Amino acid sequence: MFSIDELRFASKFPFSATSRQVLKLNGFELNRVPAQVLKKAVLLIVFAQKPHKKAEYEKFFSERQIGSSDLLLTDVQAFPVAKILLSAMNQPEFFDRFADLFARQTFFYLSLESNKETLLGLANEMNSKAHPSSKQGFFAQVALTDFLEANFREDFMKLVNQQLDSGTIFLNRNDFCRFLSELSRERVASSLPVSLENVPKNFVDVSRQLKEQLAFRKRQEFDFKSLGSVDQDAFPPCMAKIYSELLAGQNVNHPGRFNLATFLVAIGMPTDQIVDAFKGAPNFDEKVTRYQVERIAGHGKAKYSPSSCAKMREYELCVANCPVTHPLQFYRNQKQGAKTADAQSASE
Amino acid sequence: MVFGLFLKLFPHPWYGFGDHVVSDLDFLTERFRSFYQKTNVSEPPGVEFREFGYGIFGKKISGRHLNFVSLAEFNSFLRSQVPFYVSYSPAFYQYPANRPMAAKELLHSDIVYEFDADDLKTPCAQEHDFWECKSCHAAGRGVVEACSSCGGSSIAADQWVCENCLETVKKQVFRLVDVIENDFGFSDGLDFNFSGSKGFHIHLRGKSVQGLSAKARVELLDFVTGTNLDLQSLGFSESNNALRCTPFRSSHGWSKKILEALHELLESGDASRLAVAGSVSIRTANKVIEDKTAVWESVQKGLFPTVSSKSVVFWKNVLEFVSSDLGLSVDRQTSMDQYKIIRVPETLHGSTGLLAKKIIFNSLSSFNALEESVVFGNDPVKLFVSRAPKIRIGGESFGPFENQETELPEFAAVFLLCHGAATLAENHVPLKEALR
Ligand code: SF4
Ligand SMILES: [Zn+2]
Ligand SMILES: [Zn+2]
Repeated sequence: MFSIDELRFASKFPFSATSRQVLKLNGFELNRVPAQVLKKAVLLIVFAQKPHKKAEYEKFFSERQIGSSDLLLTDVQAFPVAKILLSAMNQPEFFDRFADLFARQTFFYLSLESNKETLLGLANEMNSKAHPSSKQGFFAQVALTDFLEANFREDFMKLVNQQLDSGTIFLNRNDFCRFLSELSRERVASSLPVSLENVPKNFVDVSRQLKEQLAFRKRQEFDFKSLGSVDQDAFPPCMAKIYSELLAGQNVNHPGRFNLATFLVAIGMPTDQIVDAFKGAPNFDEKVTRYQVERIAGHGKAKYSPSSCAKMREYELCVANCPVTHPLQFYRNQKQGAKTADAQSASE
Repeated sequence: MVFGLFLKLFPHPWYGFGDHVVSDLDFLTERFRSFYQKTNVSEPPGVEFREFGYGIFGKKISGRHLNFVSLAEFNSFLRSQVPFYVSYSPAFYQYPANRPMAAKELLHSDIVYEFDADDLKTPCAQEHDFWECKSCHAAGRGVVEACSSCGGSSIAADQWVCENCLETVKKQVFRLVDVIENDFGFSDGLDFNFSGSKGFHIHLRGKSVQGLSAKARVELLDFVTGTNLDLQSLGFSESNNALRCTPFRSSHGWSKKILEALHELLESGDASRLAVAGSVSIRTANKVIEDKTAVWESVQKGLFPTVSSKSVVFWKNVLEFVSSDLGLSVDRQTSMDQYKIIRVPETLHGSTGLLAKKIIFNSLSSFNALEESVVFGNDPVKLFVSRAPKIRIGGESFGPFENQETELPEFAAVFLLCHGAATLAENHVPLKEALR
């Protein structure tokens, strides 16, 4: 079986190959999931849902280190169960939050890790290759194509800020830990959603309850109008492009106009101002435009919302590859200064 | 069915020169047709997995989602339909003709970098471009941001290209190749071609590149353009009131590029430039230049020496100044929008009648696009030219022209007709109206 050290590793890094081995050899089966595993899975999702203070994260992570092997196994099993629940909830922004929790967890454990082999080995466990640095002054080296599988929302991860030479990236110890953390973020996020075939009925019930509970909490917490005045600099590239094309009097196709209008309504731009934006458009008709914008705004009735990035791509309106799944999400992040994500900076 | 549009646009049989009046469009179509009839286009590789699009006169993409099972089928399309523009997807799809885009099922994708003279704002554009105000219809020579007559900013530009423009673009291409090979380490699968108009395309078709995710492509592009540079992440950090960096010997990527550019600035001995870069007095800048050897020695070891009471601010300004010149002006959308389709190499560009000629890297430095991409002959053609700057094409110079009749060799005539700057003299209906 597994040593307690292996179990502990698997529980710290539940997306690792070791963790999958543990599940397999313990005969993990979906229709015989113990209650405490399901409970732990729900806890993970709820905790992941919103950002916390650094100390709260540390408390959450460090509890795991003192667990017995039973508790450790519960943690290992809770991970795939949580992924199923999340997939059944089918809300991509929850996926990102969940991946964020594990990116933080990974960084937390790695910065406590004294064994160099464990650090380098974790890359392998995530299907990526890392080697001790062949150049002086660095801890590890990673091939460019492997590095490019990580997540790049943070400045420190951007390729342009790396020590890159002939297709190899050289990293110091702290940067290497951050790389592994961002790689785990990407691996967890891209593993979602999972297939929902043969999922026991009680999972579906739990996920529905969870979804309602979280959606309710979210609605209470978030209203785009609370972001204050409309700020053109915070527009996602797609909307900025349509907006400036309209202002420049260029012809914008129907899906373009429609999505811009719904976007502007959603971020709280007053109707008059939206109508103004359309003034420059060829064949502008103020009455018709105003009627349409008001319809979009819904005045309490049928309300239209702007398309997701995926839909925008289908309309061929997407012009960039922002780290979001919805143009509104982009706007919100910009307005909130994208503050929440960079808690794990070098100085910690 | 897809070609219905073509039939609508080209309903007339070919009349030939004889005594009949030939429309400009017919004339060009026939020139293009004769080219495709005697040519066999052997691009792109993996033709059966690519999506194609075509354009008609005045519209680069008027239809897309086409697919060809072989190069032979593609060539017979070129011969029978004679498009003015042909584009293809850098992406390989399982079902290239399916719609919407997602139903094509992406397999993998090349990366294409595009450089265009328009993005580089070459000074010669002041001599060969024209502008016209969309509000008050004032017009003039050169490039303007706002109308000189009414101040309006809605400007139509009539842009031309010259050898100088293309030489400037080439310099960017060489710097890009340096990045691709020495930073990225991608040396295989690099292909180059003239865009057929104002720039060059660089295709990365190697295995290691084709599998990269959309996010990874953005990172490569940001590296190329120097977007999201963060001095601190690059190792330039402040401690004890001094700026430090990774020693030059162990610097790579952008930290190395920035230090090299700094070295160059110091070596140039240009104190006024340094003063501007660092926002300091010329006196302070002069002191740094006098000391440049010692300064550079210290920087190489990782410490920016004290030059004034505000040294840290000074050095940061200088670093930002030098790095802002280092990013390449590659067209972001071409590399980023995975659904964008681009000119098929070795086909004609409908705005110039020039060939989007493939180039072997070793001959790029001596490549003269405006000579070597000319495919049409010398038969004289009488034209009425509305407006053109002096152009140099096919090794000869022509113009400038303004509302005048002239006789030009066919290749130059095609160039002006494609630009929309001329019409066949025998037929005074301008192309644009013929299209209405
Ligand atoms: S990724 Fe989304 S937000 Fe960004 S440009 Fe595309 S559609 Fe807009
Ligand atoms: Zn004007
Ligand atoms: Zn020029």
